[in-house]
Amino acid sequence: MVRAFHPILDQPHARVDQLAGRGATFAQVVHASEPLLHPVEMGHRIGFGLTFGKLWAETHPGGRRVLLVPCGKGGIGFQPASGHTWNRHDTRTPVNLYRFAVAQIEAALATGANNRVVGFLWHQGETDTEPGARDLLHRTARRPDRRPPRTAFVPGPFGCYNSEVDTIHYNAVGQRELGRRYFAAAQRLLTGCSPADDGAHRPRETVTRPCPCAPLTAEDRPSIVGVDGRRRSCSARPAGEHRRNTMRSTRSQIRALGVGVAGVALVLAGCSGAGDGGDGGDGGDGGGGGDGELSGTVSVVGSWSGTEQDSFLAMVAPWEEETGVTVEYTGSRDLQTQLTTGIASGNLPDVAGIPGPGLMKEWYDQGALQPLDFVDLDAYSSATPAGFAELGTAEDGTLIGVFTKAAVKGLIFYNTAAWTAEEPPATWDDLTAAAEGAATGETATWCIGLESGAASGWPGTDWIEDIVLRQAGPDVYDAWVAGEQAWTSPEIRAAFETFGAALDASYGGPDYIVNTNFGRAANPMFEDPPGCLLHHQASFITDFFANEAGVTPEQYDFFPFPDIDPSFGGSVTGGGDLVGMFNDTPEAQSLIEYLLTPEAQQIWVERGGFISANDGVPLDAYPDEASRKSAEILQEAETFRFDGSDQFPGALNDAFFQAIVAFAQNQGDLDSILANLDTVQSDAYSG
Amino acid sequence: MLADLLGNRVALALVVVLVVPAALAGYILAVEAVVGRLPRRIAGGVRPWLWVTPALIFLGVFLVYPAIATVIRSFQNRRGDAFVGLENYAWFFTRNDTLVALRNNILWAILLPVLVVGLGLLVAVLVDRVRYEVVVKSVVFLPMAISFVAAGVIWRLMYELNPTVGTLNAVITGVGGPRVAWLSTAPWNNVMLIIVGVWMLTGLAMVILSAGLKGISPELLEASRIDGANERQVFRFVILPLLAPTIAVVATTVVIFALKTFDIVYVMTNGNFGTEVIANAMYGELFTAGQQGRAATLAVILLVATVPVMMLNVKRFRQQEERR
Repeated sequence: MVRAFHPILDQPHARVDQLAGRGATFAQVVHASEPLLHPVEMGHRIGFGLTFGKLWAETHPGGRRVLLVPCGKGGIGFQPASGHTWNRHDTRTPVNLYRFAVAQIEAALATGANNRVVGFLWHQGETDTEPGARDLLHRTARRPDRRPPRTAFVPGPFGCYNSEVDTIHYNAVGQRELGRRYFAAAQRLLTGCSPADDGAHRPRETVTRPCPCAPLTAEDRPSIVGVDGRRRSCSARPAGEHRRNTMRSTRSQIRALGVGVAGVALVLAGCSGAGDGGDGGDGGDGGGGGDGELSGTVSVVGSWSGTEQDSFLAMVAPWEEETGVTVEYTGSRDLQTQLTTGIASGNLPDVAGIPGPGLMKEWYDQGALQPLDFVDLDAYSSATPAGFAELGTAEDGTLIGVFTKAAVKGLIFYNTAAWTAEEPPATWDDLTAAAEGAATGETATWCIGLESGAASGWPGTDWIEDIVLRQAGPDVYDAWVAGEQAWTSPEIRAAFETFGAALDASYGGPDYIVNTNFGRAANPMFEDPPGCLLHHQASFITDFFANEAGVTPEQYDFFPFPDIDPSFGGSVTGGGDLVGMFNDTPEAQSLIEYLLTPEAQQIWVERGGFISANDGVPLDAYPDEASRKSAEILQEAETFRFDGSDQFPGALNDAFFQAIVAFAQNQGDLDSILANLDTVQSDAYSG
Repeated sequence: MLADLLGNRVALALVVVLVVPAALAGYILAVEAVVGRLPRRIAGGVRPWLWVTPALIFLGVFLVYPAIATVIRSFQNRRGDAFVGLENYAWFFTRNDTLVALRNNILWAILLPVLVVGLGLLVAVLVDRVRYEVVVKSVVFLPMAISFVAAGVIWRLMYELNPTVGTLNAVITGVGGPRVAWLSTAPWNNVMLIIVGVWMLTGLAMVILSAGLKGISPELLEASRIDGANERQVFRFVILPLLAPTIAVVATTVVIFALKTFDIVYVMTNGNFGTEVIANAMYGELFTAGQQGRAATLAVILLVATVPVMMLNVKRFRQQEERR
């Protein structure tokens, strides 16, 4: 018995390709050769798909190519089995072959403008001989008039089984014969011959090699309905053994096939119970569980955890649905350490949140971060606030980091019960005057808390940045961020002194300020009587108001940090979450492109806690007044500057944090603190 | 194949647990098969070397090579691509914050072993005489089961300024005192951090010292009492000398811990308020500043500081071995 792969009979055809269902070339067009790349590995076996494709290519000359799309798996019937299902509505079984098949067909169509679907081959094996499914098969076989239009039903060849024992699965001869029969049925449908003829009137001229085991005759017709007991065998097996195998043999012959043909050119073939035939036994036992290669994965590491993580996952869910790629997200509380270690060890995520532009550039120079040259830079920079695109660009002009989430810093929050001014103060002097008028007795002007674990001090760096930008102007700010402005210069020193005055007018004194977590710092503002009037922080702090102070959105409001020197009016500082790519894969590129779309960002915006960097997200998408106001400030800023300390080299940033803590504890040390920062600055920028 | 194996962590764990020991056993069997055929005199000389070869390779790859590479790197620049001579060492010994770290490490290396051994010995000697010894020892030993990071978090709550959260300030304000900023008041904040280490390590010292105490022959104590020694004299002139080797081992172990202390400082103050230590500075230089050369320098300085203590420990160990 011929069971195995035959080098001549099973050789590939020059015009027959396949869309790989798995492996390194997944979803790409590759030359079709046995075994076809079905989603589940089936060993070195052959199926009917290639035979069908070759016959089609030969009989439809003119140079058009045939593209087979293998998408079947053995052993899967109408009921889910071994983690696979064909039911399109089934969302519980890990692998949905129906959706996989549709996705693959769409991918196949996308590979050429002239591609067309011409047919589907459905190979039904013994799995569906249980009651119910069996009745359906019988109806399909016996009642051509009740089939969908242009559908053929083709019985498989008898006798061409794997072995005397395995009389369920076809051997290689049987598989080739199946291919010929499907082809013949498809031809008949095309030429208008009645589909009711089925296999009985198979045009012999198209079959170059009839199945040697069991020539198909009119005898086959009763055998299709043989489950009823009227089956007659054409097998030459001894009667006794035959009887023993009757039921199983019978089942094996109910191999239904529907061939729907709708045109010529692209043939989508082989939605079959793959794995039958050839060398092996039951191909249906091979799969089990989800095949990882059905859909690739993109690993993402970000700083989002908890609710933010949920929102991020909700944001990428439509993309996953669309592409079939899975996002493997890991939240990290210490992105910097994790990625530094990852770069040293080569163990990096595909896509990652980047702690800041300074580190981003360092990592790009080290060759770890990949260029995002697939992003449309013009579209991106015009959709984001001024300066965002530049911040994500390396020295050589390559885009290496993109912003999805933005944050407005320098907002001044107040308790609506305690701060009752109608208009937000226009200048810093107005603010100070109003605060001095309102702050009485127990109530201080500010609530400041600098503690934040290993990053203690950072809330103060935001203060200094806001003051430098508004007091000394954007030019000084830029020079300072670039490492060209001495910390001991009058401008920066003046900023520290302005901050020092705020510290002096702050609740609790130095011990409270340096020991109080930034998230709880504003709690006294909501006490009765209030401990302070104002709290300076970025937009995210409202989460802490709700969770730490237990207040509702009606109890607070905010205004932007007022101008200090009127000549630098309308300045805004802010930040954002940079996203970069460490492994340049098509999936990672696709994900980043998706993340930049306003549609994607709107998902997170609507869930709350997200100010979109993209002005394509409508303001009324924001769920609450606070985030809408922040988005408005961002869109209307005259001068926007990114958080300065995030752009400093790591060492300077760290020293800045510590300097803030030291300064808050003892303002008298300002000289030595600034001198130390100068040393660190010259050191950090010297490379 | 290899990627699949690495991807499957269960399989990997099995390989590590089963295959690695099997390979080592196989290696020894193979060595024996070869050595068995050699003349007896040569075999005797070769065998020990072949037996220790795997251990030497592991030591070489995972200990000696990194140590040498670290020393070399300490003479290189921040990226490790050019030599800068002694610049990193000059940086260490001229900067205020690194010298503060050195000072604090010395403080840790003195205070921690004194307190740990002192308290451990006190508890060991005292509970030796009571019936509920096991209970007391269990309680004192309990903090050993907690990670240093968790201990740092716990003690941050103890030291918290806000009396509704901070236990110590709740007690102080409860009796009418002013609240204390335990972690930001130099230089006492260093002692506060060391107390966390003491809380963690006293149990270990106590268990080892207690075991040493049980090893002292009761006849000796009996004899000294008959000779007229009071309890203080028994402790001072009999127990203490006999326990000295054990105390030395515990003390040196704690000194090494004090030198490499990191977790507590990182979690509780991150070196702010003058509490920096060398290991935390090393972490900052490596991960925050990207200064590989300086980080290596700090590692070398730690190593150099640890070596004499290690040598003392090894010497003690040898003396004990000789006595047996």
